[in-house]
Amino acid sequence: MIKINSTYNGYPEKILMSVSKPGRYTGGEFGQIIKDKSEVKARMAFAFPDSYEIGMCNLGIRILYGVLNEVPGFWCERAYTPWIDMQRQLRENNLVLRAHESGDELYKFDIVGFTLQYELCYTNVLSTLELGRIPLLAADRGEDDPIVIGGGPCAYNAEPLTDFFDCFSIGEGEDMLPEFARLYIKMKEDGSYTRVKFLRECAHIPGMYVPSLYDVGYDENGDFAYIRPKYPDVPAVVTKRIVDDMDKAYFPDKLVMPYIETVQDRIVLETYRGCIRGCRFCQAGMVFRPVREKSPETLDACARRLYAATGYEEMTLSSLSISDYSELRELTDRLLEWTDEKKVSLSLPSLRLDSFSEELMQKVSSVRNSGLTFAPEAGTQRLRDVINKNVTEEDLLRAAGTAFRNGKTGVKLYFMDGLPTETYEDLDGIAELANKVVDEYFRTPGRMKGKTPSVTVSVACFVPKPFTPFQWAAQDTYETLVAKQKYLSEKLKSRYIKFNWHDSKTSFIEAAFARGDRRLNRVLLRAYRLGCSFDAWDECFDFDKWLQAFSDSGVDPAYYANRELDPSKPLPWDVIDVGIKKEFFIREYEKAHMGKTTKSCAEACAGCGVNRLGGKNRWCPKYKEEGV
Amino acid sequence: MSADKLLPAGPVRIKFEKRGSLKFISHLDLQRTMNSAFNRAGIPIWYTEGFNPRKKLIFALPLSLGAESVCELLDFKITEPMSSEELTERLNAAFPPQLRVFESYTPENKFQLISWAEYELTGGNVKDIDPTEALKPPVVVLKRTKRSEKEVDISPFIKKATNENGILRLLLCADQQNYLNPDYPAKYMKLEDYSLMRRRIFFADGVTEFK
Repeated sequence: MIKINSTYNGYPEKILMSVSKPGRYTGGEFGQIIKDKSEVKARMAFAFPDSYEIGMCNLGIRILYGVLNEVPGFWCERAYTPWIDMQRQLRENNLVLRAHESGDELYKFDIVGFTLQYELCYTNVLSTLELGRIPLLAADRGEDDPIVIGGGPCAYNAEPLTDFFDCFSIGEGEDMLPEFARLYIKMKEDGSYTRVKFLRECAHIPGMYVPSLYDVGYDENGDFAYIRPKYPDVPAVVTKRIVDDMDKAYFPDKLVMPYIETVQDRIVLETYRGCIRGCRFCQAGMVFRPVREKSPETLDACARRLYAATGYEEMTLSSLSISDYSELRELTDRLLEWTDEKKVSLSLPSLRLDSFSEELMQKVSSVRNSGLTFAPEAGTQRLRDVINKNVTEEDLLRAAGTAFRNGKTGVKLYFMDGLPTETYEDLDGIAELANKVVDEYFRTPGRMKGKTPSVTVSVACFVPKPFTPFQWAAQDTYETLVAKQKYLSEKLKSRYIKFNWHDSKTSFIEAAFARGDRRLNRVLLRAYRLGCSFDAWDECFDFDKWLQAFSDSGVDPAYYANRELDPSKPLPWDVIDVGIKKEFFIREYEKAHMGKTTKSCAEACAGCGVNRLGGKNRWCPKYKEEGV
Repeated sequence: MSADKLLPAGPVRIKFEKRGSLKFISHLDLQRTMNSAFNRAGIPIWYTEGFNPRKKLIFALPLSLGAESVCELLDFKITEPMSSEELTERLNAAFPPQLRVFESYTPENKFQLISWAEYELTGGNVKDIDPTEALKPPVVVLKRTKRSEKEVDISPFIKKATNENGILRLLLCADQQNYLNPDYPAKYMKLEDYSLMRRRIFFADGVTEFK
């Protein structure tokens, strides 16, 4: 048989052979879920708005892909943003972006979902929609176009995206998305479905935010003034959803196995949600509360099933701060009973340096060696108190000493610059701390003989995020951040120290969108039209185009990024309730300016208010009314 | 096919195919895919000793991105005896459908004895090509290595070239020193939009199939 013009997953072979890593587009992975179209009543394409290599590893998609495919009559597939070369090929050849499992074009789906993990993926949402032949603006979509839904951390302030999405799921999707899928099937089956009616019904699902059902207003200064529902049946505030019992929550038993190498090509075991710490800059630490743990039994059983189904030789214990998992020793002991024999290596990212111990270190490096990363975040105790990062210089030096004694020579230190109240003394502190770690190496008996230490100092720029105590704080201007970085690089001249810093240009755009309101929708569209794409990738980010997009749209990015907001005024994201009370954020913001710390949930309840959302095995039994 | 046999602990060879969209997966990625698939299959495979133990998977020949094959060979060692039928079945259950194992057996011949490989090229402008004419010696191509580029006459490494009913068959050198990537003659003949399949591999006589 002679094959002419072969296609794979709907794409012509000729095009696949002309792009980099064609395996990103051809699907057919082991573990993918295929359903019989004739038995399927509604279909969704779950898209990750970045490259396949990034998207394939996302834990949220792994969970929701599984949970949605458990809904009878519903088929959830995957889609990713094609890389630049493939985008060009699709456009030049008038081809449509397709989903991975069926190879069908995106516009043919009933629902297209996006997980929104970071602000700099927003232009990719637009290119994914457009390449999938779906009208970019929700207002332009007709009865036959898909419903476009967003979720993930950035949905907590979805205002800059309201023109492009029909609805957002706020909080954890394990229960909410199946309800959404069932509602869609029901209304299609009983014939009551129209776009408008469906979205109105969606607004009644707890946790679902339908932006078109709200009016937004600004005051005479152009500041955000209000957001309110257009109809009485639409909730004035949308409260995030959480999973009640993590031990009973859905977790996949198998994974889709990528053929090509991805950024986190391994088993990711979610140990708990939330964080007991309360660092004042950290959005994840706030919005994922209340802290809910899974038991070691649940996790071990899950790990065994996933190993059998995937054969992965690496397993990450995931959480925001793994050493705060209350049964870490029990869990690692259980896992090590079989992982060593199977040559599975455990990795524990996000280790807090105050809990880093010899025992933990030996467990982690039992099969494979990897680098160590600590995050003091700020250079002086004063500033660490301001941000409520409750670790000390002694903690860091002790942890570094432990690492060096155990044969490590390299340590990575993460800091942030531009934090509220930061001075040049705090920057000096970063340099001093790095030098002390180097000194600690030479002081450590039993260090690797004949080797020199390598201390990597990575400095990111502070970005004020909604639903954090620092949501009102100003980001340093671009010029200030550059000056600070220059100052630091002068200070960090030791040959044992390597200095990396994050580009403050991307942080500036990130800040504007993080705290943006609905006026940023037009900036985003303009930036996309100017060619912005894959903005989280250094080689693709084009700052000048972004500045032009802002200026073409008559919007000043500094208004959103560099301004200190007034805590007494309404915020564009007040329509969302993450469970934590605004008064708590205000109190924490004030304490930050006084340099006062707040204890972790393990030590005392600070009364953040999230307890009212419920959740079994949560960390906040000593809940106090109004946080006295 | 041979009946079920017990494979003793030690070297095992599998013959498998790599078809369909799997042809877009590079050799390196195939190795990674195989690595986890062997774990899923629960094969008692031998690991290298030392600080960083690994499975030792040895492929007979590289296969370039974009090519399919129905004659891939892979060697590894097992640490306990196993029925060949069960090994084949377990691997097939753990492999994606377009990676299929035909048989597993105890190898008798070293990969070094592989000398020729037969390829089938179809589609595109293949049907218009007369290989006798198009590959008349010398066939000088620019060969790229890691270090340099040089002009080489590859005609000694082309044993046979025929075109029947739009299927262009090339028998190309596949020994370790002079392995000829089929892309070179294909490019020389100015083939476009063709599909490539490795069909068989042979001993030095070019007739006896290597096993």
